Amino acid sequence: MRASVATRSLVGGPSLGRATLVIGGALVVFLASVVVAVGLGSVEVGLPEAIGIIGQRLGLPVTETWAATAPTILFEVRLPRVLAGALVGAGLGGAGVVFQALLRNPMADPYVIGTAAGASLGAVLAITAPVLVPALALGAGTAWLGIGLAQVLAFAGGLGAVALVLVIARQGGRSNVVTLLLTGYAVSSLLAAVVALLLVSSGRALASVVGWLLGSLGGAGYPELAVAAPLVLGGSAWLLVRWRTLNLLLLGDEAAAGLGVDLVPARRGLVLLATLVTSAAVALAGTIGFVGLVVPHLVRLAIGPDHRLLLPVSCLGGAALLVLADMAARLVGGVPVGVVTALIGAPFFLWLLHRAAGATTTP
Amino acid sequence: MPARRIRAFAPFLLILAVACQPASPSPSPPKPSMAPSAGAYPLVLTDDAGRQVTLPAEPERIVSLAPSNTEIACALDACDRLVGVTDFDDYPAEVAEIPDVVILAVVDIELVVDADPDLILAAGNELTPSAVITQLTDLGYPVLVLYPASLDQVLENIELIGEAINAREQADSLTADLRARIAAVGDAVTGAARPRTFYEVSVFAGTIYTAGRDSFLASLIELAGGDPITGDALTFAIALEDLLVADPELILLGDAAYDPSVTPEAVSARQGWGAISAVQNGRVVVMLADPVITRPGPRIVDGLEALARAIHLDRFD
Amino acid sequence: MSHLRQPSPNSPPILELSEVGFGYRRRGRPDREVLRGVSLSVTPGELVALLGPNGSGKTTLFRVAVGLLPAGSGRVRLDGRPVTDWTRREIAQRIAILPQLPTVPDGFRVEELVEMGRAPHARSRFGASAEDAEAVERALIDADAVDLVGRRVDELSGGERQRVLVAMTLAQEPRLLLLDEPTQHLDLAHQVALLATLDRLRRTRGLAVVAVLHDPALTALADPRVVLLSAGRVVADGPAAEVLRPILLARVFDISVPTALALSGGSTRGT
Repeated sequence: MRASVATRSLVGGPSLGRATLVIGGALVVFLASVVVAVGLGSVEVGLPEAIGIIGQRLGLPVTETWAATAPTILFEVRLPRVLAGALVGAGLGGAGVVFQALLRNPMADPYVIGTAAGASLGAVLAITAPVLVPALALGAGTAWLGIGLAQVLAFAGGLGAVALVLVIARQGGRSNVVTLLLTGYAVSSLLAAVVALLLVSSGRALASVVGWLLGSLGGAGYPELAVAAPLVLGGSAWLLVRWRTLNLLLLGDEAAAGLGVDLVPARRGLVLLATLVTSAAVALAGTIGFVGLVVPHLVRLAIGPDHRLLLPVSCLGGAALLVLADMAARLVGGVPVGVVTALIGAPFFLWLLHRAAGATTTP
Repeated sequence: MPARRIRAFAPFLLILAVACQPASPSPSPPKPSMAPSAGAYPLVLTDDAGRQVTLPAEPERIVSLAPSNTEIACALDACDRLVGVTDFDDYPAEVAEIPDVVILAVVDIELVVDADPDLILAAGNELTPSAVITQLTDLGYPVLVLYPASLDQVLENIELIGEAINAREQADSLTADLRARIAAVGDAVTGAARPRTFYEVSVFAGTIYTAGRDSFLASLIELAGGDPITGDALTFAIALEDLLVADPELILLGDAAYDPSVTPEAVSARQGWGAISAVQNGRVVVMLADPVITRPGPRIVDGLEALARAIHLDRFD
Repeated sequence: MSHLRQPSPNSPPILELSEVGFGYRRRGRPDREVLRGVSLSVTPGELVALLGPNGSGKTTLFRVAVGLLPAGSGRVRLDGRPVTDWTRREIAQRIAILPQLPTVPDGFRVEELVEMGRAPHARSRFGASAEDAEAVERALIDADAVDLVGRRVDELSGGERQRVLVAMTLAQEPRLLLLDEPTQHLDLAHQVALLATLDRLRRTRGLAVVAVLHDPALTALADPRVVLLSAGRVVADGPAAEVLRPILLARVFDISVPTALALSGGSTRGT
């Protein structure tokens, strides 16, 4: 038997060397984006000052070269936003990969089976309730474990909507991918209609509602981050180890089952984990679009479809993208981060389609 | 929404929300209370949102998050103490020099922190989002939330701010002056027949927006001697059929102050509006004073006077 | 119905179907029966050619054999135990299916696809073990696909892709191979090579193979046991020489006897 060393290194997925290079590279990009975003904002607290402030906080003897307000800006205003951006971006990037594999559809994003619609309904209800029913004037101080009501209801709404979609889709016999997609679309449309109704009746809360729907990292404080982080990071980690199942699902249901995948529990587990991560992300920052759709494609173009690398790199890439998008939004001023991601995402998507159309004509 | 849409939308939102505040909000927040005028700090005040706000010392660096609050501060000779205003502030002229911390109706927390204020004047009724108020309070700043829903409450706000910044004398003299002018308007229109008055805030995407039922704007129209036709308390909209049934005798075009295409001729030509008495009698008036009518600051009395003049021209010189 | 079999080694069957029936249930209409009373036993080292016209139930037979479809009647046993007693992973470690119309996702390279065949045996969370790498290499050699390593699967021709898919199935290192039309797209040389490989594997490694072959003539290459399926029933089951009688072929495939005679290679077969 020819045991060629050359074949050996090609065989069996990415070698350790390539894996380290790719994931290491993604990590570097992510950390660089965090560093840049922390150093830029409406106020001049640049990177040297930031390093100095952090050093001082750690007890190192550093001469103060910054304004008295700089530490507050850094730790209380900028850092939570950057951390939120990293968390949400990572969650959406990873969940996007999972849904695209699960539904075998390149147009799928993490919101497609109802998460966005359900979370929007929850949050908008929380925001408009005091306006619609004055007796419920809950005021700015409403919090539960230090977290706003809108976040809690958004999280619950996201999970609830997906549960509804899964139950309905199962009624039609064995739930297959197309049924799931269509049911998700139908339920999302219904919930979105209710949200639209609330939007129109929102009165003075209109600006808040629109702001939430467009997505923003400004509303995330440390208490919210502390709750969202384990959900997003834990859920994503659990998804990362399921890379093999995701690869197999790409071969089609029959082939995947033939290779040992127990379809129903595997899909259910993936949907639940990905929905958990997505709902936590949406609860934290609203329905930020395009990250979950575009990042998986970008990463796939760069490093290929093997989920072993695709998942972790998409998480890191999504985090980097959102952190940088939020930085751009902050610098331009008053622009919701969802607008920036749309401005990046839409042209990229058109380019993707153009490329795909070109590819099908080549032999 | 693209950024341009938001830009166009924002002043509309602002005007809507300010103009159509309910005159008697429910649940009614406790009225601001003031300690006996000893000018002694630390001072504890209750703002329009019912919050207890402690001022440790006389504020030297004031940030205003709404144009009305800026105008009040300047009217109390505290313009030089302002270190942050909004990009919608346009009066008095000095405020153009002051850095903006609110851009396109979005409060930039970094800029607020950088301004290092010791008093923040916010707006109630979600004009300053309650999340922002919470965030600023959590950062340790004294935040006074002002939410005047009637002319009397504007005067009380002037007194509250005066108390807060140790300008009580200026506040008292200003309010006395304003009260006199209000009384004068009341006298001038006493006994006059109240025409059914429709104040057009905007016509946007086929929907007509006006003063909401029981709103501040409606109360101003009443004080100015008119009988206001009102829209939905929540959405401020009125259907064309309802407007035709109400049949105003006088139409005041508030949106003409911003949109040159809104003219009495254009309004008369609108589909279905020809049947309205005000149109038939040519009583459609451009209200260039809309910016002051809808800003609950010291110049609101200018607005009241402009309204009264428009409604009862014969009663004024 | 004659059930003459080749003398099989004295090992217990890997797969045993006993009077298996399967029908698709349809609301308001009678069920569409696809398999009727099918009995089939496969022992290690056997090479079985499954022949039959379109719609005779070959693909469904495979699906029922691995438990992807539940048998409506009868029993399906894998290594002596009912197939429903095994987990999917355990079944996949023993049986590999090469479907007729597989989905090939974009962007994967040949060796990555073949490595997916190792999934049922994979122990490592993070990647291929040395054992897996060797299995993949062996599979590539056996399927004559080594020259394709490094290329993207979606850029291969039909025949090249088929060889890669066969490699993937072989990498699974099953004890029973179910191949649904494995020779499609392959040129004659590769068809011959594949059958030779299958024959070699069954003799040297005791692999059992059931292959759906379209072309009865191919059976001449390996002299397998032939099972003839028609309308969901096993019509004949025995050595090629006995089963491939022109009259039987003509009836099952709905062709004329002279044609059947020509196809079955002429004189050496009895009528």
